Amino acid sequence: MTAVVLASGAVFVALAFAVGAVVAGLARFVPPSWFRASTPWALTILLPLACALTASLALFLPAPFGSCHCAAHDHHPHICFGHPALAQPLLVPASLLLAVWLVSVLPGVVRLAVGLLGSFRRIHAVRRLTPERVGETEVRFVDSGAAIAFTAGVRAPVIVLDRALWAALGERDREAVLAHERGHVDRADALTSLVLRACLALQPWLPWSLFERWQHAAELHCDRHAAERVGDPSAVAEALVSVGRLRAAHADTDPAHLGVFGASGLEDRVASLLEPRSAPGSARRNDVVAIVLPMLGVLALVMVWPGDLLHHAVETLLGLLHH
Amino acid sequence: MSSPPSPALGELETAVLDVLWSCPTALSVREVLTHVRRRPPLAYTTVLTVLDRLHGKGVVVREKEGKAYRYSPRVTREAWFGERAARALAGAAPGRDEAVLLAFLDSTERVDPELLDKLSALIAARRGGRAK
Repeated sequence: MTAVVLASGAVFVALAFAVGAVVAGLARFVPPSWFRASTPWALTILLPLACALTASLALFLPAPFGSCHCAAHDHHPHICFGHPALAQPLLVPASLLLAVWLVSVLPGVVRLAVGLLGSFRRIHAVRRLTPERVGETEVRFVDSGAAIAFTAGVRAPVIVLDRALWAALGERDREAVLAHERGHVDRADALTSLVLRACLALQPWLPWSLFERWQHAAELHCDRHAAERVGDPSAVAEALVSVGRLRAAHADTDPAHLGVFGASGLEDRVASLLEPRSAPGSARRNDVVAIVLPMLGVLALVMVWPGDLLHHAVETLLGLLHH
Repeated sequence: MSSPPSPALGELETAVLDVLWSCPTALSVREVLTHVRRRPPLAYTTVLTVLDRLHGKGVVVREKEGKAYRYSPRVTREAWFGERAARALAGAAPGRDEAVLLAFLDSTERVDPELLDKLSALIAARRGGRAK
């Protein structure tokens, strides 16, 4: 019984690593101008886990509508709750692989969990500030001493604006900033960010740049969303530059924290607004929902239709690796 | 109402501010002294110094009553902690430090004034081109 569970777990890790290596390898050669929508970048982080989960479940729960085929093959180990003793040869290698994976992911998972606790505490404190309405949008104004405008929180995201920033911006800039933040709320980007961070913590071999590319693409979507609301992409580009100027007055950036886009992030966003052909649409769907729903469909299909096929394929692969 | 950004406070300053927040009216130094629970008890002059420091930082307001001052907090407890939390959130790198935060402009974005000038010129040129 233990061997069956450990073998399924080890298959999950091995496949996530293999698919992740392929995805990360391919992504390295993809120029930033190719995929400017956020969903493909979210997919690069979710796909390895989805493939691994499908194979692992197919192994763990073989052929729900079929019968056990253990007696029919003898060229590979069998992972089957009916005959757990047949999985015994996989016990040691599976345990070793899982142990290595757990040790490698533990620091990242703990760091993420601790960070999240702090984030949720801070967001809770921000949420208790008196809300004010700007048009139809509820915002929290703060006197932060920095040119900040952000959206935070998963369940009920809160939009936070610095009072001095707000006072310094013109009417069109304000409209653009608010519409951009509304875009993040509508797309539930904080939820996607959280899911992707959790998935990255489980796959320490994936490069951080995949997440940064998703983040940048999400910003492009929200810029486009703001451009549609304001009715003028140049107005959003101007708002970006205005906030950039106010930010420059408080610049104390640590170069070590610069992301994959570095100084080109702002430049690329402005260029995308001025060149609509190079920009993604204002997709309002949530990336996790857009990916997970079809994946669940594929998973259900794999479990029901080929039935034993995937289970048998993974067992054969294990047999090849084991011998 | 706009107020200055919330400065960092020491443990004693926070304890005194907690007393002011817990009372609906302005308090004298002696009243604060009776409410602060510390071991060993604080001296009158210590509380006076702390309140003076809080006033200097713009955290409390004071009004003269006879020969002494009465102190009250400038902002509510919620506003105080909310502002501090917002600053902490804003100073973080979205995604890397804060997994559930999306900023209009990344706080780690290096904003070069020359680049901003170049972008402004680009936007102006685009507007000019469209107007023709």
